[in-house]
Amino acid sequence: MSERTALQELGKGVWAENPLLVMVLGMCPSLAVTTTLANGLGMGAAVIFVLTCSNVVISMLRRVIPSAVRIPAFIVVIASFVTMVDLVMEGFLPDLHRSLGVFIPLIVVNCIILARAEAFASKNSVWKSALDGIGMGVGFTLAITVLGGIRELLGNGTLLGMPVLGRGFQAHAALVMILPPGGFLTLGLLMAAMQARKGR
Amino acid sequence: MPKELRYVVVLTLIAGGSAGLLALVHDATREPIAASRKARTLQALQAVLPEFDNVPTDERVVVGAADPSAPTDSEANRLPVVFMARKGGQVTGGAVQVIHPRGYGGPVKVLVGLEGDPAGTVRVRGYRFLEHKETPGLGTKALEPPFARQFEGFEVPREPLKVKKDGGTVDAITGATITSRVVAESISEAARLFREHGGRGTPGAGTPGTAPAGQADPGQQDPVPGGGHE
Amino acid sequence: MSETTSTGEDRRLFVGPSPHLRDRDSIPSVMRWVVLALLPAVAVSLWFFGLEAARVHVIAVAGCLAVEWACLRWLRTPGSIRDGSALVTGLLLAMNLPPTTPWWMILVGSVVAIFLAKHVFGGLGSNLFNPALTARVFLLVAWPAQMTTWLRPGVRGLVDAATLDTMTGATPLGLLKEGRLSEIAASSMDLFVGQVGGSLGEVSAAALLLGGLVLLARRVITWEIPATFLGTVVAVTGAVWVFGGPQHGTPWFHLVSGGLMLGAFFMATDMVTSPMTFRGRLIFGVGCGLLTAVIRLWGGYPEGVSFAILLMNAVTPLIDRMVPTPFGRGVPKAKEAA
Repeated sequence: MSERTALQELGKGVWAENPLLVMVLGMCPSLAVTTTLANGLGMGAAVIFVLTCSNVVISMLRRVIPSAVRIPAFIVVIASFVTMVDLVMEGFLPDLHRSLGVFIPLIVVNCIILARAEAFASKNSVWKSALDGIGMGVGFTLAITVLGGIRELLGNGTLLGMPVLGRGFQAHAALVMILPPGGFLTLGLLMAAMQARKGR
Repeated sequence: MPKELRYVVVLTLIAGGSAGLLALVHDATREPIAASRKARTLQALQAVLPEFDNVPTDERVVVGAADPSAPTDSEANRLPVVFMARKGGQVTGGAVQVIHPRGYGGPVKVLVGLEGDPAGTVRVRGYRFLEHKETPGLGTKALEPPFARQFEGFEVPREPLKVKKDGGTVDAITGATITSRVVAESISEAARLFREHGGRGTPGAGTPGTAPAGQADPGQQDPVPGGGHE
Repeated sequence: MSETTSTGEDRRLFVGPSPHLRDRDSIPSVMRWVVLALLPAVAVSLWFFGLEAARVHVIAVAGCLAVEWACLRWLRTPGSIRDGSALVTGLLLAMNLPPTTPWWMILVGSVVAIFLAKHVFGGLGSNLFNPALTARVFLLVAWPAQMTTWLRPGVRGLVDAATLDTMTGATPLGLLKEGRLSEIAASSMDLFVGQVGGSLGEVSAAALLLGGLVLLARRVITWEIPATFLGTVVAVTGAVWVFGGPQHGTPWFHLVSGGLMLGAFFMATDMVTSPMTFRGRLIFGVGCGLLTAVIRLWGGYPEGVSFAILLMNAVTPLIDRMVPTPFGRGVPKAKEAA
């Protein structure tokens, strides 16, 4: 496998190997919380934190953790960081915490984090793992923020809570967009657009 | 060392390290979390109650709680709660949280704000759905004018409130009769509970039927305005 | 790739889901007959709802044709604008909408029907779901208030928003769902002929039945699906009516209300989205009927035909795999070869 530069490690998660749109990981929280742009940003930030920290710690411990028990070990590490995020959010960002609800603890089983731990952090240096974590996290955040933005705009007429296309548009917003079917449709179309772009 | 022992040691160390770190974070966030939970409940209460200078969450009556000092969990969360509002020691009103079993999409947790005297006239000050699965854009119209306007300052009679289709006086929303019924019946029930239990409790003191403040309480149920829980 | 799948089937003999043969020449003539068969019902809708109905028909058909042209041009899926399929979809879409649907909503419906439900899946012949129904359900979920506003029959001029409230009423199925069937003003004959509120295609069972018979006579559709669909609805609602009481509506009531006639003859019979075999179609019709009855009687929505058909559309590939076809069913097990 060719050596990547630091910038490439960071960038691959944003476009070429975008965890949500290309690797199709982490669909569950993506569909569930992206009813608003703010939710997308909040969830994304939480994931960046957890992903980076767990990548770093797992990379630091990679020669210590025996292969046979690596999954339990990874999960404990990931779960600890997720719990930290949960507690801190509840204490200092209660509105976001309430919006995201049960999906904060569910970050533990977000495939992206376990996948990067297994596929990358357990086999690479701390520095590279950190970059990988940040890159993947940022790519995920971008994807779900766009997703949340589209759904909020079409489904509620607002962006970040403000009616950016006027109250008239807001009164006629398509409810379906903020309901599950709208989530699936938007995600599908986004992935299709991504495929089309990459195919070029 | 034999490999099994190594597994045990490594996992124990990782788990122990995690636990220690989490204990620190937990301590650091305990107060902000308790404060934000209380603030959320007070915020919902403030929206539906008349002016008050007491702390309504400290003066709650959980109606029908078997053991008032038991930690309230999901079972008790199903019970109605009456929050008292006072100004200058006098009762100015109350908020009642009821769970109506027959919403369009399932049970609806309604918070009804009332003002007045439990022994005399009771008027509606406002109401919110704390938890619901009503149709967004249709059933949720029950929270907006023009439907909601008919309840502003409305004096609640002692007889149960009904929609016109059921022979009553309340104008239901076209196409959302079921949700309209939920509102009418919840307001009736809230007023009834307020009249029955509102007289109890002195400012600040715990009373029989009131869970001590500070424990996990139903008042923490997050008011999610208009948000359905899937 | 290995030669056998995980279930032991020989990959080289694998048959993907239908359809495989597409007979392009006969498509326009099939479409022509469908349009002809729909004309009585369209005429009735114009009679009862006048200008509003005309408006909906025109915008729906024009919208669908426009989207079809754009998709054929830019996506290059197979098909031609002249094959009439977009025209039929437009008409059927119009028949599924309330008379007072705003123009922009009809256009959104056209995009959903033609682009999302048809071309995204590969164009004519490759779609999994009935396009007109997909659009109707999408619109219902997106704008529930407008999609459940029913003009009273006989209002023939254009309606403006201010007077809308005075001219709308509940549909018979709507009343049934609220437990107010006794308040129904329409008689059975009214329902049959069309003197009721509803979407454009829901009103006249008589006109639709006529059209359905035309399609059967011309062999555009086969009898299995309409017969089993209607039969199952009658059977289930009949049983419930006998044992449960009149508040659930008589089987005849169910037969002539809502979108059942339209669905049974024009939507469920769409050959692309229904099974290929005789037996398969019987199963399909029964499934549609069962789901329709269950949703109408106990479900959250007053009308179940759209959902029932879409759900059975989803199951159709499975039915086609399970029911033996002239092409065989999987590979015979090893012991038979010995």
